[in-house]
Amino acid sequence: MHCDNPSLQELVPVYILHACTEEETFLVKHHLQTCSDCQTLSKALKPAEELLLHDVPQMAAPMRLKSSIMNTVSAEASLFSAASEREQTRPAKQEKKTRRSIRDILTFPVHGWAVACTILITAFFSFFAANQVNETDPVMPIEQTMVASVTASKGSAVLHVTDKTARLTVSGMPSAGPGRIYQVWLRKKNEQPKPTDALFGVRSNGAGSVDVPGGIADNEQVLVTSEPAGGSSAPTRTPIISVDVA
Amino acid sequence: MYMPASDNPKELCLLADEELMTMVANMNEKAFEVIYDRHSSAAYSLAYRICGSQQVAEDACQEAFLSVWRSGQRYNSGLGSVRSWLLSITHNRAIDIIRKNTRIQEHVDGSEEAALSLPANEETSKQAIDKLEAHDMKLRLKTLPADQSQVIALAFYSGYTHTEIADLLSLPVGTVKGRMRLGLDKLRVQLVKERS
Repeated sequence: MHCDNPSLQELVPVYILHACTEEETFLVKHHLQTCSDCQTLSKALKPAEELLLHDVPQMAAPMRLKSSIMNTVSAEASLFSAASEREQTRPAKQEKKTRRSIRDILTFPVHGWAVACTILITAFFSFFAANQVNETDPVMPIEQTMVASVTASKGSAVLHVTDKTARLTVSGMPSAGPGRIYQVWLRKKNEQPKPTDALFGVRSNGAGSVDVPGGIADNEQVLVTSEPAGGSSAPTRTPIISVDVA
Repeated sequence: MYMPASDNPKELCLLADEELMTMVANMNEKAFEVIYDRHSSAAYSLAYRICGSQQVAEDACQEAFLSVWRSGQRYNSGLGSVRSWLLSITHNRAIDIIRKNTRIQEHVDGSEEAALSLPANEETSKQAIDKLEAHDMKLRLKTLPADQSQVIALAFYSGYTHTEIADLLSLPVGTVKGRMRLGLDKLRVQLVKERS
């Protein structure tokens, strides 16, 4: 089948070279999702793009670049490790109680069969629903730890998310300032950030953490700004921490 | 798939990039360090080619590698090799930086335009073309006709859009697009010949 939009097909080589305008990039990207002719053209030209990525005079990267990158990586890895350990510690009693309850339910034959059938039916519909999801849609795992982008002079942050809760943990952050506090905001796509009641300060070593009330479902970003004590109804400063959660 | 029980660097060095990226997705810094050591030269070389400045190239590489570290779970083999994926990210970051710096410079130049002896677009055109010739052209791009390699280099390594290139070189936009298509086709044919 031939392309029905020759002006966009003409732009495919331009797109491969990253030389389209912003609007053209958007149009070509969407066109490529549906036009098999242009997909074939793009696939044929892609190796040339890869060649160009490598086709430069080779030089060694400076050692200071590695130090700078690995310092940040080590700090974030430590933060992730600490956050994961905390979330994995669940009281043993709670697990025993859950196991006993299930055993009690299943010793009643009729009740047990009803539970088993319910589980099977739910699993069937969950599997069916999951396979209807568009493959291009991002899928949020039930539990995940995400590293935040920090624009403060120092520090790092991670966001640990489960299906119901979200906890932001920071390390090495500067103080919010005299009479000020850090506030967490949630932003949906194409909307202004909404305030939460999650206000926090940091200890003298720059460490701190806060739970995001109500979780972060349906939001695109989690943001943190420095606000006057007590928080604000709208951000008064540029975010110093941001996490893309969509 | 073999996964070493420890973070022994010697064992990690035996793993393929794709296996290391699985570990990076789990925030394994030692696996990430191996990825960095393998690909930093290629990434820095590309960034330097685009940015033309050591400091700016380092900034671009830092952004690119930290992006790989923070979103390692997004890599899959459908995106190509780890190196190609990383170099694409580096390319995007470097181009973003030089475009942002160009916008800032245009804003500054705009207020000083009256003091310039040359019209702004002539000076930019000369600078852009001189920059192309300053680089080592003993490369694949040099095997293309000069008019094709010029537009490809201005696009891919200098971050100009096709309409900006048309202005720079005083050419119709269609001519620029045509030269890009022909140049990429020639590179593709070269690759096919080599692989066969």
